Amino acid sequence: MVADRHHTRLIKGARILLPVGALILLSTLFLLARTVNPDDAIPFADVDVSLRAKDQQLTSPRFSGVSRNGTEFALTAQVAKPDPKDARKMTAQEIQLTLVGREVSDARVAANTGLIDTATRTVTLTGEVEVETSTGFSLTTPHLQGSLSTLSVTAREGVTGTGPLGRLNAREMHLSEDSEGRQRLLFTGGVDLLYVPPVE
Amino acid sequence: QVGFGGGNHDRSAPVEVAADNLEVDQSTGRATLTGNVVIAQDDLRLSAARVVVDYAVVNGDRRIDRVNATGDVLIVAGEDAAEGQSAVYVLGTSEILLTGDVVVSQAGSTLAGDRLAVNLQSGAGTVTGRVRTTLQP
Repeated sequence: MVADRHHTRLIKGARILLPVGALILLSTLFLLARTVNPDDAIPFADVDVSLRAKDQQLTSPRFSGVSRNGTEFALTAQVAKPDPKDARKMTAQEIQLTLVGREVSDARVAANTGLIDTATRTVTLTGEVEVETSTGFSLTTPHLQGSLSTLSVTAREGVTGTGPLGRLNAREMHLSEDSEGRQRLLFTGGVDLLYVPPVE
Repeated sequence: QVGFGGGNHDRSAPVEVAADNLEVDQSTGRATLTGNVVIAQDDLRLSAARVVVDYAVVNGDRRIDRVNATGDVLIVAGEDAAEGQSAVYVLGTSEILLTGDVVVSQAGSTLAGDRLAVNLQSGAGTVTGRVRTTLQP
């Protein structure tokens, strides 16, 4: 019957054409796929390893002690690089210094960068130095320097901030301890204050 | 009885303080201003060699309660002026007590005495103790 012959030829043709079509499709798939770069998979730092080994670095060092009159100090930093010539001198980043005096008087100092000499127990803090005291002062100064063996640190390049007496700015600030270890905060060289009485 | 300062002093006006030095005792919080201290509020100007600030802690926050000035104290309010050895200015009540050979000078006349009590709010002032008055011709 004509329809049967016609039918089988159709099937025979399909039986050849379809698999070949599938094969072609499959191969183009591989051809077009993006080349996968195996290196991307592992994120690795390309810091020169030899450089890291040469200059040693202390991560989150801590330097603490008690001053002659009883102020406990604790200095921490995010990272500190010892001076190659004298390991007890180091430059540090992100420094936090807490000073706890007798009779609940304490001060917290934070600075971006600084120089610490653990031998002479002196510090030089620079870059956005912030000072918070237990008496409610919150001050900033560009530079604070001094000794921790007997607490005496000074800011000479201007101090601004707020405190119980309102907004404050002064040319110099000096944080020190008296013989009984009580802390004294002294602003000198001209002080201006603006106090707004709280409205009842 | 003497009028001083014209009254209606605004005690919530900001207080400007200038001095050579400010020292804070970190354990008590006591603040001492030294070296030509000038305190200005509204039309009041108080100047002295040394001022100690006393705080009161009211619902948690610290506020200035009174100001103790010593050493050639000069108070100017409006057109009136008064000198003395020491003064206490209580911010809340706008009252000033000036003591120690007080001399009040007002519009041509001066009044001397031991103490001057002023209420800047009402503008009232009373001089007491060996009161002497001199009138400039």
